[in-house]
Amino acid sequence: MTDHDHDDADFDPDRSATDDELRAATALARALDRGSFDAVHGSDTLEDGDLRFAALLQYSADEGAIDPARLDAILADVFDEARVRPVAAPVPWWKKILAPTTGFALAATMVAVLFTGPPEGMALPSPNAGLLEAQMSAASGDTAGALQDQMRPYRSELLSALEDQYR
Amino acid sequence: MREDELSSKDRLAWEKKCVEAALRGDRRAFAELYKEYAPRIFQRVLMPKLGNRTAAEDALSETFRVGLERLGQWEARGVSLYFWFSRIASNKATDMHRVRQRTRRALTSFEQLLVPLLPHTSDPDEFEITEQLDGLRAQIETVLDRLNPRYREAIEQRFLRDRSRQSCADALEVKLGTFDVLVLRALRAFRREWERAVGAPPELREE
Repeated sequence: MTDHDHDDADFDPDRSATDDELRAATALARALDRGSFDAVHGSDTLEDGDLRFAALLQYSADEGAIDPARLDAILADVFDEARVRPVAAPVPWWKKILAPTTGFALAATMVAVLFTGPPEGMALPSPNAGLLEAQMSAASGDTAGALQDQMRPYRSELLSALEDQYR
Repeated sequence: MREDELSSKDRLAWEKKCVEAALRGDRRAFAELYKEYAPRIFQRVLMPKLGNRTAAEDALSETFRVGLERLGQWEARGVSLYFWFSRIASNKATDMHRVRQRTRRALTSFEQLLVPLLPHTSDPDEFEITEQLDGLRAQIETVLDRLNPRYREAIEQRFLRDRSRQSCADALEVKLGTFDVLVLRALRAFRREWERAVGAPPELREE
């Protein structure tokens, strides 16, 4: 017989309860029903280990297995409550190279245009009186043949001037 | 499932595939991960830490919600995703204890009672994953054998068969109030025997 056999054997399990035992038994029953330790009502009469051992024994009955239907319901809640945005598929390597290359090329083109454009204040040849008269006649509805004749030498003169500037 | 199985190459490859698909918005892929790991996290992490089924279910939901939202932050590094979920669950349980303490409705952890039953591990937070709990029922049986038969009956009725208080009182042929006292005494007798056989957890040891 162990020491502990004496502990239990010396007491009738159904003996009258003390006031403290009654309060503790009520607090324990309440805590087990609620699943939480109510720190207001009668908790001072419970020993620290009472609820731990009660929880351990309850756990041992099924070792904490969860019902499959509850598991599914919880997963549905997870999907409902989670704030997630699908992540885009990874960018292929060739796109990673193409994007900066294209950007660089565009930038280089812009620089080239800006720095090789016509100088500011460039003088173009002025049209002569014959060309202006031909333009007025064409605008009044007369034949455009005279304008074409006047434009030909002026166009040649203009292109020559531009060629000189860009050379 | 043992720890070495969790770290097998096949498992890690399967996890990576599921994570990549889940990140593209494939819910079935995330559901596969959930169904593989949620029961284990509930059983081995949350129930021992919270001691309460409803609280553990709430924590499980929060764990996987956070996991889903932060899945893009997970990096495989040769370690199972289970450990990542397990860490989130552990933190959630700690948060719930803090909240319940403030509202004066404390939860009860029995995690420390299980520690002596498990092999030594260098990381106390990972005890739940190192070994099965096959020894728990055997240890409880050993302790119950040493109790007064009346106490044993009260414990079996109330906790192991999960019967209502009234039903237990009827079975033991006592009034409800008497049964409540009997359960209290039975629990305290169980605790004394348990601590003799297994040892008291540090926070319950008397100075």
